[in-house]
Amino acid sequence: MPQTVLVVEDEPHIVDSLSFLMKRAGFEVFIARDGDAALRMVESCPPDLMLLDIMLPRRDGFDVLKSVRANAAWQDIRVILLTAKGRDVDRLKGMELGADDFVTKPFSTKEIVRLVRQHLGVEEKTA
Amino acid sequence: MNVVKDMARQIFAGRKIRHLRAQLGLTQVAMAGQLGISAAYLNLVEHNQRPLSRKLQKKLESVLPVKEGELSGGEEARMLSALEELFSDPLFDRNRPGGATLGDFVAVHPEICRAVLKLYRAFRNAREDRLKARESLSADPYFSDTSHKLLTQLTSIRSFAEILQDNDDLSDHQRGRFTDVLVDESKKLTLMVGELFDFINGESLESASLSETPTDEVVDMLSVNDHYFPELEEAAEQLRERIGNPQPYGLFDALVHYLDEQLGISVEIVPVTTQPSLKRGMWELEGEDGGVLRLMETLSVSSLVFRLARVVAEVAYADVLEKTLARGHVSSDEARQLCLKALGSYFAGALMMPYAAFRKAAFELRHDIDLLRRRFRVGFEQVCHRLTTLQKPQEEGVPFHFVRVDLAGQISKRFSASGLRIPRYGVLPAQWGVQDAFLKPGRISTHSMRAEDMAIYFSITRTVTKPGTMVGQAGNTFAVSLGCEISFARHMVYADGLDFTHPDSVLPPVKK
Repeated sequence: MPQTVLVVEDEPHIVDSLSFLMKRAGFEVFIARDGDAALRMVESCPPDLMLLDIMLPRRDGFDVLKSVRANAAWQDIRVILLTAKGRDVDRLKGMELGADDFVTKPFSTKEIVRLVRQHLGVEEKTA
Repeated sequence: MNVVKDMARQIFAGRKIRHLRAQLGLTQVAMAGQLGISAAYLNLVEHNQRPLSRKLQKKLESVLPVKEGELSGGEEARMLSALEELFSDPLFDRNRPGGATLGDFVAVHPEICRAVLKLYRAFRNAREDRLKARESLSADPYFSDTSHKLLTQLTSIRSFAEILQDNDDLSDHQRGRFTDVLVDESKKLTLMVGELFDFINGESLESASLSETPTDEVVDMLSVNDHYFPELEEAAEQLRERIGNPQPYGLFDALVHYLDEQLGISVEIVPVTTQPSLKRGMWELEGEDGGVLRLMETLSVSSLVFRLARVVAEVAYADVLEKTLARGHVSSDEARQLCLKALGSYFAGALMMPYAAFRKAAFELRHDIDLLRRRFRVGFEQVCHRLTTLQKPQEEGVPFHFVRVDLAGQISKRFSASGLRIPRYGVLPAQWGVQDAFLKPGRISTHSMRAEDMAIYFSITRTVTKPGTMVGQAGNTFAVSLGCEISFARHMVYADGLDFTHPDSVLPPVKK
């Protein structure tokens, strides 16, 4: 059974590209467009990893991360934050709140796939 | 304190004496003779090996070209301390001179030290200004919003470009879709960079504001729309018809009736002694869907009508206000609320002074504000404000600027269609003559001035006073100014007698 990745992002084109990349890497992908929707999805079907944007409508990425880390049942969910370049404070805050890693926008697609694989313990495919 | 002074005298006097003696071309022996001391003692004094007594200081001051007290070393001590502070700046991290070198320099070249300190103070001020500017720029909502959008677009572009590059096996459909995204996002990016350049060049200050406060955003929203809102004009006309096109003096009763019959809101005029006082100072609306509108008795009739009209706008025409607001860009909820309030006020002005009739009267009465006030039963500020909104294409009024300031010169309202650049921040320059109105409360005064753009502007100014909300409370007084570029001044009765063929002649004489 493939491992699952929840993409939490409000920008449709970024969702599109992340979704494509994760599927290509062999993961099953779920999508949430805002913080509230993300938490509902985590509750109904906890993913193995979350790609979590910080700037989200309604409930921001930090709030989502706090809720995830506050629930003992969700401690195994890996969380990679999507932060904006030049916002070091966001990265530090995210790591403080329990994120496993972060990727800075505009990110490299290879880098993000590599990180997800690394956190999910998946061997890189050889070309 | 004396110990410090003595130390300073000892440290600096020796070097200075040696320097000045050399300038005079005197040997130690010759000068010691004039002072009545031995050359050996003078040598020790010059090398700070002996203290400079007050008696010897007096003698030296009579021999050397120095002013009384100059050898005390006080100024040098202050200068040395300032220089030490200067060289502790991280700027001089690797080039920091030692204390002895600085002491020599202060003693021998005090003028250069003074100049260096002056230069450093100027540099420090400039550096602080730059930091302040950077801080306010980084806090500007426009920049944070724009940088977020830029990053989002760049992320999409980079992702799809790499996907296209790294995946040879994409279907035609996928390839086409991803390419479309690239083209689409690149176009958006180009547009945004263009806007950014315009912003940097100051060409779109209104649309892509430097909005520092929600109030700035309101001003920007009005400016972007040239202070004219056709939807609100239409809505106000529609309401006028609904309430039977009343004469100005019948508007109050008509609105009270409309509020009661159509919106279920009853109107109460309450005495100034009412306790607790009204929630919004001069008025309050209890219950949104039907309720009671309470208004303070101290409001003038024109202010009462204005308030009733604004409530009608907010309750019955909320959709029109929202639609009008949606044409602009506001960054916060506070700014949004302020903009809705401003649009409600616009609606009220349009209802009390219908566009066509008011514009016609303005030209007929040559913008005599008092006559316009009487014809439309409105206040001075209301007339001035409405005049700035006569911007309907093909049916424009005179392009006016309007500004309201308090006694300290702080600007609380501003709009300019005249071309005059009104400062965004701080106080109004005294040269504008607006504050002069406070010297003649309640009377209209005229003023002409040449602005930075070299154009000449003519304006009228008068104080207006808002009533207090409690017994014994004085109201707030502001100066309101309405002006235009000098070529339009002939439409104003207040400019009669000015010689427009020689625009310079309208300027006040230069004070000598």
